[in-house]
Amino acid sequence: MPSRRVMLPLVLGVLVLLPVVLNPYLVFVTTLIFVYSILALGLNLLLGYAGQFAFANAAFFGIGAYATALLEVHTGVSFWIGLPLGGLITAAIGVLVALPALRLSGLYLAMATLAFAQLVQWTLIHWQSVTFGAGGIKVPGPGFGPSPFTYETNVYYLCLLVATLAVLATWNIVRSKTGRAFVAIRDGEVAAQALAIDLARYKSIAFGLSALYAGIAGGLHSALLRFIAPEGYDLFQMVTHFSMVVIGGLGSVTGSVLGAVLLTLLPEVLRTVKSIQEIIFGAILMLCIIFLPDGLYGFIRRHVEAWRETLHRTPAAPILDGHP
Amino acid sequence: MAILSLREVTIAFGGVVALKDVSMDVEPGEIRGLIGPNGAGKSTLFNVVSGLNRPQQGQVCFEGRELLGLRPHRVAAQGIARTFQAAQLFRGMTVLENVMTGLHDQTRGGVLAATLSTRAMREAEAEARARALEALRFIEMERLNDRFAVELSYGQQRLVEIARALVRQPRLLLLDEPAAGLSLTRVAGVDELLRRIRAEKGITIVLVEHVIRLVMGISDRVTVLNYGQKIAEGSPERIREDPAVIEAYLGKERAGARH
Repeated sequence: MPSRRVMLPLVLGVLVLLPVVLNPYLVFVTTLIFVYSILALGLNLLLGYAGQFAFANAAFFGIGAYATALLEVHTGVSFWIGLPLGGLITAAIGVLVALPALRLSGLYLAMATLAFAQLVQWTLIHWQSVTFGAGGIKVPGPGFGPSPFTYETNVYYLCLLVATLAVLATWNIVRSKTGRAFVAIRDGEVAAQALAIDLARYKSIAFGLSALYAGIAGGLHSALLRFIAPEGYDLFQMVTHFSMVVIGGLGSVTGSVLGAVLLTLLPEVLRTVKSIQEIIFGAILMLCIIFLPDGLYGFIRRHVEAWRETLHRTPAAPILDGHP
Repeated sequence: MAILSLREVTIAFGGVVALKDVSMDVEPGEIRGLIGPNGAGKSTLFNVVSGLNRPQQGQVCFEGRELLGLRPHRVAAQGIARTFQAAQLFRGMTVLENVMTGLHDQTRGGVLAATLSTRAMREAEAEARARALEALRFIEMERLNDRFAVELSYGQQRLVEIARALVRQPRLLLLDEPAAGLSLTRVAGVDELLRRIRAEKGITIVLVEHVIRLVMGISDRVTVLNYGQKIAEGSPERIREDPAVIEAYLGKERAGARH
């Protein structure tokens, strides 16, 4: 099997041509994969690399979607302004969430971030004058000027572009001193401090980055669906993100993308067996955890030496270890 | 002037007094042995210096500057490096990355520069890599730089941890039982390594160690703690004959009266 240097341009080439051959439904599903890849990459930075057991990702996803959409609806700015602004707003909220979270770890951090997620859900539903409540809101979405393609195909290419940039950015970050600081915090806070790593600073950066990814993904999601509602960003959404990262591979860029592919396709494929969809979905997830304890990425690494990524979370280290 | 100076440091955890009125001065270029029976407070003393434990009383100065109140990463940035009683390498990193992490505050480049992989960033990375490789060469482990930390033997992990501390070019190095769990031939290697660290890098070393032969052979001076108090300090020859030290080590065995 060829190495990354060959594979990546190849995959990208295929993806660029895909809308020509795929039907509109499959174009939509593939676009969704791009959006989820961005989400999984962001969550993996926080959970897989920095080891912060946080449950706020779906909430950040929702904040990004709503921030982008509401900026368009209330202020009339175009999507092209709303998207980056929405991402930055989400990142800022991510850093704010990190502040109280700095003193927490393990299950306590999980509880606190879960509470935050519920608060966001509550706000989206009840702050009707701004968010339009539980009924959701129609999103204007981006205009694509002279582009010859359909709206859906344009969104496809936009999401492909952003997802590609997200992969490259994540790759660069994890191989920098920032990535090493994240992993150092995950693998040993005390030793990290002894090497002059500021825990508060790097945990905040990890929260901010993952919120930025989720916020941008949310903005793209709003453009893709053209309709958003609070229930799209609830706890079930969080479980999906979490499964992507764990099944794909904690602390792996490849794993993030593979997890997004699998967990986006699986529910679509299982639509054909509607009555037992959830049961099969759950069973497949359980089998993955049992037979691929270090994720899809771990499976690849064992079989393709050239694909070895470093900084991967070794399976022997449990996720839930609170620091003493 | 002493490079590290403790003045009447007292720290208690709940009702247990871990250190009581401990004062000590370490001179630049010195190798200082720190010994004492289990629970004497040696590791606590390291934790106080590194900012992990905050004493109720006393002063800790490094090169004349007060350390107390600084958070651990700030203490490290002053030029103090340490190792731990149980080697604490980062499991998910290779040996080389572990050592490169030691250069965290000495490598330039924030998140934005990293994201864009700017030229300055790549140069800083290359320099960090080169310095880390040099540190691994110093401990004669450069062959293992691509191995994951968890694949190494215990003794090798301890050495990598020392390289990770050395790469920081600290002026003070705190070593917590570098020879623990090593075979006798390896202990001789540690002895030689410590001498080279001082001779070639000019780093002052404080050494906590249970292998008495190693401490006595290499230290310029030895400080003895027992039940959190300093009971003796001086040259290895004097310490060997000090009645209080002999009692602390042997008296326990003879009577079992203290336990």
